Amino acid sequence: MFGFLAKRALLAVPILGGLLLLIFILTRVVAADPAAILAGEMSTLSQIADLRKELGLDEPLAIQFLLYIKQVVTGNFGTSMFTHRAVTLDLALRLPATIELSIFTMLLSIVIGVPLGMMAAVHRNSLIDHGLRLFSLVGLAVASFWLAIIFQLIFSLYLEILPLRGRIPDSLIPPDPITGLFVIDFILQGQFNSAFKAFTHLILPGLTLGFPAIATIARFTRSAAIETLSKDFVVWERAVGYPMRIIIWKYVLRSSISSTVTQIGLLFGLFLSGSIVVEAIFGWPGLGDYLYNAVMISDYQPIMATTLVIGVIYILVNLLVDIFQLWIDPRLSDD
Amino acid sequence: MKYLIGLLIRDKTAVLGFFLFAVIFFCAIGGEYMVPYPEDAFDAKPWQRMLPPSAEHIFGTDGMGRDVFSRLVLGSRIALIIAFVTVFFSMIIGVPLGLFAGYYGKKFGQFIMRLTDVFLAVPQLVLALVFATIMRPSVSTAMLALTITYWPLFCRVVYSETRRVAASPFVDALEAAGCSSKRILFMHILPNVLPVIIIRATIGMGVTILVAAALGFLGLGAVPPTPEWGLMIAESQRYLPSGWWISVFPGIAILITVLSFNLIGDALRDAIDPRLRRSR
Amino acid sequence: MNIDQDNLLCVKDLSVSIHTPNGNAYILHQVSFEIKQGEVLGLIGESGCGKSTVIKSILGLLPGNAIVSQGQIIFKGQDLLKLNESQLSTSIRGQRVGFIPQDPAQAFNPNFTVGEQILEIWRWHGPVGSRDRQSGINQLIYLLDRVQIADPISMLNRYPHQFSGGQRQRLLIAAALLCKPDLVLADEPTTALDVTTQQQILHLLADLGKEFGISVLLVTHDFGVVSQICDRINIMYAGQTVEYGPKRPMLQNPEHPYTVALMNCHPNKLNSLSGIPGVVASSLEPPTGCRFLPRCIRGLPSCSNRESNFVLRDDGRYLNCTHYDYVI
Repeated sequence: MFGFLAKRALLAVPILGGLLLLIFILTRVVAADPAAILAGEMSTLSQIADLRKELGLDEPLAIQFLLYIKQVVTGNFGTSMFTHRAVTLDLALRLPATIELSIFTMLLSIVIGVPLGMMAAVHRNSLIDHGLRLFSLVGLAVASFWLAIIFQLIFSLYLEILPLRGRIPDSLIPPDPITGLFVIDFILQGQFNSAFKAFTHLILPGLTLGFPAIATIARFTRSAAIETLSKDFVVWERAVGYPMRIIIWKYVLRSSISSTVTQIGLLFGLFLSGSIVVEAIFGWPGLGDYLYNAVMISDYQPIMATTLVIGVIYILVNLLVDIFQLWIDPRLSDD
Repeated sequence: MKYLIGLLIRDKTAVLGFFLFAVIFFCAIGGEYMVPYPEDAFDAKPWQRMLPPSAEHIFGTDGMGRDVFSRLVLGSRIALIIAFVTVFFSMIIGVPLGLFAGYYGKKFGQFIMRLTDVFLAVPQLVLALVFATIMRPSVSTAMLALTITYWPLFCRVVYSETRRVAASPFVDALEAAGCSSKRILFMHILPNVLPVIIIRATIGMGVTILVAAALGFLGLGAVPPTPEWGLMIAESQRYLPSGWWISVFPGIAILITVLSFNLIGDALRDAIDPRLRRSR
Repeated sequence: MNIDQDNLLCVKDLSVSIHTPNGNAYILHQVSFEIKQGEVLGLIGESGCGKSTVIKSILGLLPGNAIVSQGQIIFKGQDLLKLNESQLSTSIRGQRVGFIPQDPAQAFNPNFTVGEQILEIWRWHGPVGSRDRQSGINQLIYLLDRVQIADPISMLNRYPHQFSGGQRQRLLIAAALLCKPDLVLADEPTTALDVTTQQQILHLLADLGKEFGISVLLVTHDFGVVSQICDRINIMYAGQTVEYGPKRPMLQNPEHPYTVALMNCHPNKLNSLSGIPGVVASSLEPPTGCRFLPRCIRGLPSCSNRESNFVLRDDGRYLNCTHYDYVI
């Protein structure tokens, strides 16, 4: 099993290299005057000249690429025009927010999607089943930025039961950074009221971001469950006296999960791209929001750096999904 | 073929999908001739700004006094054009590459696959965003960015399907009979890969519209005053919460359009390729 | 035939039909038999005669479109047909009635260890008061040893795909006996196995049954099997019981025309190997009365109006045939 994993991990390296190359080509080769672009629209000529020297733009392309790799490896992603800080610092500050939102969204999607799918499978052709099918069709057709606005309109402005923006209410001080995840950090510090408030701030962004995921997970769980329920071992399980609820929630569930896990990698990609607009609209200070701001003012250094980081995260997540799949289905590991 | 149509007719969701698509398509073609206020694509009418939905303006007017309904219908043309063009060119690039990579295999195949891996290492919107940022924002820029980021998906799908078909005995037989590989590839393998291509293209239309709308929302696609749906939603944000109709209806338009493509794609998938048939 | 107190299981006039798009399929028609304490009853018949349906009826596992139009299944004084799903799964299946499926390859869930799955039965049906996991493990290890699974303790942590067909069938026997049911239903448990293994499994089953005082309902189509381990047999044709009773007299002296014809087909008979002319009637349009009539050499016109009537013969068998209706 580990041999297979090592091979997969090794494959990731050239992909990363290729990604670096792609971004390099975009920033240096495609752009008309890379230095001017990278320096930003508001820079002076001398700043541009300085940057040109720093980037080694007069050197041959190959040397430039090596310089670029060196920069990346040492964590020098340049400076953001907007925050006037090193991009690396910006990224480090914002990463935990996106991680918290992603984890929450993933959990939320599974917690809602899987039971929905299972129930639809058990009660086929009932109201739940038809409702679910409708929901899964619609869920994949909504634009997440639009959904974000709709949720805000309904839950924050009209019903006033959920907060509009931000990770925490303005009046609240963030917790001491232990994990970087506000809800957990608040709990670790014993501030349960604050933890709850932070939790409510996660709900709308999570629901928006996870909407297509819930639809997909529910749909796949349903198919897998229907298929499993018709298998012979379910007949045997009933015949030897397993209670029905055990059959469904322990045995059929495990067999159905595998198809969900396959989706997780794909869904995470949706989260990452969706987070750009969702974080922006909900004022969630994560990577997506950072990228959004950078795009709005054409701040190139952060754009490239964030893209790279997102790529790395995505590759890692897919690798983890492969590992998890091997654990779930033992038949694979014997091959 | 008749079998196909019969199958599709029996399937209610497929009919719905085709119907919705027909509506959108009709809107896209009809455009200026259909809407009550065709000039509202570009003209501002500040004296009637922010009117809620009424008999004269069934979806209300936006912050510049323009009829939302008219702009929506006009926007359908843009949406469909972006979708068609993007998918078309993605196919032009992705399908041949996928075919060659899948059939001739080995070094070339591996290289193409690594290439697509690199492009697919980043979610589509993110990469498209990077491309679009470098160039000047416009509808063409959006289409270019979307094509560049979508062809790898096409390529991969065609690649795996080509490999699957190429492994079947009848291809071996053709090769043994001395059939030229170009002939095998285009006259025998391609027809068998076609169903997958069609399904992917249909689903791709829906996906493209969503990503294109996102680019529009981010200001990287269409520029004001173009009546592009994503852009309309972006512009509507400053008029919230009072002007809810300016945001809601464009989103519904996106929803209906993407839904129609997804329904058609699903129906095609069930009809053309029963192997892929999941319990519905 | 009477619903006797010392009968463990008494099936009386069981009639089951299934509603299909092509019409009603009358799978079982007035099937009757009894099983006494501690005996092995062989349920014999050709493929498609409804044997598996009998088992499903006892366990309450008939499909949704099945209708029980008449009959009773009296198990220890209770009519199983009157119980609902919850009652069946709580107190009957796995606890009082065990089950061994036909194809061991279709029994276990591939994602869980066999130990986990078999112990799940103990968890819900083990003896009250000692239903804990350790007691279950002890009992299971003991049974695995008796069914000759080597190194039972480490076998518990293996997955189903790591066992051969014969091993899985032994595991399933252990699973069926785990909670010491009163009755075990074995649905052609050796069909999917090779000949040598068949013998081992069957004798194992019979021996264990005798040892624990468990009755066995063995469904099969093989007379050879029957003659070896059954105490009594019930012969079915096209959903009807034709005769049932003690094995020896029935095998030595078959009386029902179908049984006679069937014995003549048995490959052990060296002088003549014959089939039975005709085909089994479709269950969608079964003949009225005795379903064997179209192929019966002794058939009479009155047979087609006949309801099932079991006559007790002096060798202890019950016979369902016109010719014996009035014979003492």
